[in-house]
Amino acid sequence: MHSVLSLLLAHGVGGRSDLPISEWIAAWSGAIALLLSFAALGLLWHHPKFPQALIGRLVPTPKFLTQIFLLLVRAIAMTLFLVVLTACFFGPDNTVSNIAPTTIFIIFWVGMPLSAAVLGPYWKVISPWENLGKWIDRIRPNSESVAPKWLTSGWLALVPITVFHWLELAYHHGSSPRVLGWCILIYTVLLLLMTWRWGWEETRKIEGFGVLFSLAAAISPIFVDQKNKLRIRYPFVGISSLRMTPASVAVVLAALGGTAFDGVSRTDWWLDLIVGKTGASWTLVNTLGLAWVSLIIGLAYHQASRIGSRLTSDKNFAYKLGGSLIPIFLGYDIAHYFSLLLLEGQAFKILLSDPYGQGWDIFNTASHAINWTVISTTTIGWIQIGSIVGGHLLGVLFAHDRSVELWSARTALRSQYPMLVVMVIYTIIGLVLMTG
Amino acid sequence: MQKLRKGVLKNMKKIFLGLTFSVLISCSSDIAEEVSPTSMAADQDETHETHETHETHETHETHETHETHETHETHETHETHETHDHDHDHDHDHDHENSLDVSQLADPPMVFISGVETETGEVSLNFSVENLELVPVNPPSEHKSGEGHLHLYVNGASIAMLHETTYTVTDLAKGSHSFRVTISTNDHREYSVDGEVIADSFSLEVHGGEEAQDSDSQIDVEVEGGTVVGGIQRLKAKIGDQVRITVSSDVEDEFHLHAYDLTLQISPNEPATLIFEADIPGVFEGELHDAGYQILSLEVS
Repeated sequence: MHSVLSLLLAHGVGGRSDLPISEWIAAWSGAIALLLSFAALGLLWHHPKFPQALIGRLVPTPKFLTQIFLLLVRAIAMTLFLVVLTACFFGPDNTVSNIAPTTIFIIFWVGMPLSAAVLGPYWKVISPWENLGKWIDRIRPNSESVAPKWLTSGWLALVPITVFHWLELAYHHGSSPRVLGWCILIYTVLLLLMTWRWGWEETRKIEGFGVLFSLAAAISPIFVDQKNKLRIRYPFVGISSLRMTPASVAVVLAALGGTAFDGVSRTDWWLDLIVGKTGASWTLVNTLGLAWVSLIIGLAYHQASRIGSRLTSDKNFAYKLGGSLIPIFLGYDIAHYFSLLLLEGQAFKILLSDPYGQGWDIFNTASHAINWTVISTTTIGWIQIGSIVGGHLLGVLFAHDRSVELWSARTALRSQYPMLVVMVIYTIIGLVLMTG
Repeated sequence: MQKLRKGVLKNMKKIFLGLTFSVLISCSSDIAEEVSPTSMAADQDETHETHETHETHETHETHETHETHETHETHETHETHETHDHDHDHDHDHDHENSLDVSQLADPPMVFISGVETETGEVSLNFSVENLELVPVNPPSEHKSGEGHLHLYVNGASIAMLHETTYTVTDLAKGSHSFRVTISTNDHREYSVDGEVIADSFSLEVHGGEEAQDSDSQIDVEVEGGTVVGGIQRLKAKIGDQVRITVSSDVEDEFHLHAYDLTLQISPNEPATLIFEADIPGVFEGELHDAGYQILSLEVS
């Protein structure tokens, strides 16, 4: 007998956290690792090494087969999108037995950035909005209207990310399939209307998920060059190719902030604060918490960048080094959600066999159960520490490489002090949060 | 450099102001309390008042002890999963999903439960249904009017789906136990009349059975006035421990323990107990279904 919750689950989906890892020791070792690596970089790494590694090498791909493959992948993704969207409205109205919440909060939100970091910019191939947008581009009348500044600046990309976080972490009905359905529908329609008016090239800039996933994909060894050819290079160096804008830095910071709040909301302190709160008051407290944590994360970076700007007299400091936030975000993401993806994510396989709750068993997986012991808690703990520390180390590494490229060795080193402080703070916060 | 430091200080101030402000607001935010959907209180236990009230049966008074322990029963819950629909859902918005209202029928199905303690300290249950044909749960089949199966709960925990009219509950500890039965459609929706799940229940004092023994790890959670007495409750257990969670509430609700996927029906002021073996490591949220907040955090290591 299984009884399902039709109401909220505290964190989008999933009510299982990992065991706390060993407290402050982790935080201190992380901070020390950062400081040591910073010192080592300052002593040994005087010339930028990433830019020349950007070119990579060509991967020969048979044209015909590639096209068939892409078409197939696109068709599958589009079908899944439509299934999830319709299941939102016509499937069972509860978080666990409807396929939508699991797909959206786990497979999409956790799975996409992590897999993009490995497999490259494949979201562009499968994104329903990308595909619909390009299709609208083909049929829309040629219009002369120039896209307005609010669209092209890309700042609006913050909206989908923020709304998503709010649904996931703050709103008490955020994981209800019906609510999710309406959000997807409204978002899709708005994007398509803007595409109709100004074209997909411009509208893409505010498709926040696409923006975030393509930033994550920069870490991947796989990439596509300007001639649309598939190439490979060393993993991670691709960050150097990104031209971050203030808006895209803000998107990564927002994503980071939400993940950090997810950590905060699992602490004993927060649980005691929130216990007994329901409905609107639950939403209110969480909204404030989400805004507060995001603000701290954002302000810390902003402040460090301001100091950095003065030290280097470069007013674009904040986004020239913004790429270092990407591995940090991915590190946080792995630490917080990797076990969710691996464990609760199994529900996707089960639900896929019966997406509308009709008793179907399309893939013969409907009767499977989640195996909670596929990975030991010790392994999870190590992965958590490793990903947070590793993410920050990569962030420091990139920031250093970029700064010796931009400035003289002395200025470069000096410019890194404020960044280092922020990284150490982020690392300690990140690791302390994992200890719950 | 001084300017710089000032800038930092100024912003730190902002951060801390923001922090304090939000904490203050969140503490006082009870003002914004919404009328929450917990008012379904007297939902299902009223249906059985329409017929005979049950006497407590005390036919036998043997004191045999049992080898096997209680974890056995609650563990049956693991077998079926996810895709099943709901036992009974109080949220009226979702009624059409998890229950089937048959008020329009002239002769809606009915169910009755009775039971006696056997000589060996087990409880032998008898069910009778009217206007319903009991069909096996497996293989799963489509809903067909007039067909269905029974869902049996002992002490609030769901323990079996049945199409037979007898069932023996074994391994009960000495003491009072409550038994409840509902009838469900082939596709696992509860039959209901006028928004109330069709059910019957009774309590029985078991005299045989083994002395209720201490579990390795146990906790009582008390919910009162819309919050948990003493704040959110935390329980630590080791892998393999027998865990006993007792939940009492002043309103009717359903307790759900994540990942273990165990549920408890809680009637007002009648503590319900969940006994199981801690076999999944991690930190698990236990929350109230209707109230919608977390009341327990179980850490298994």
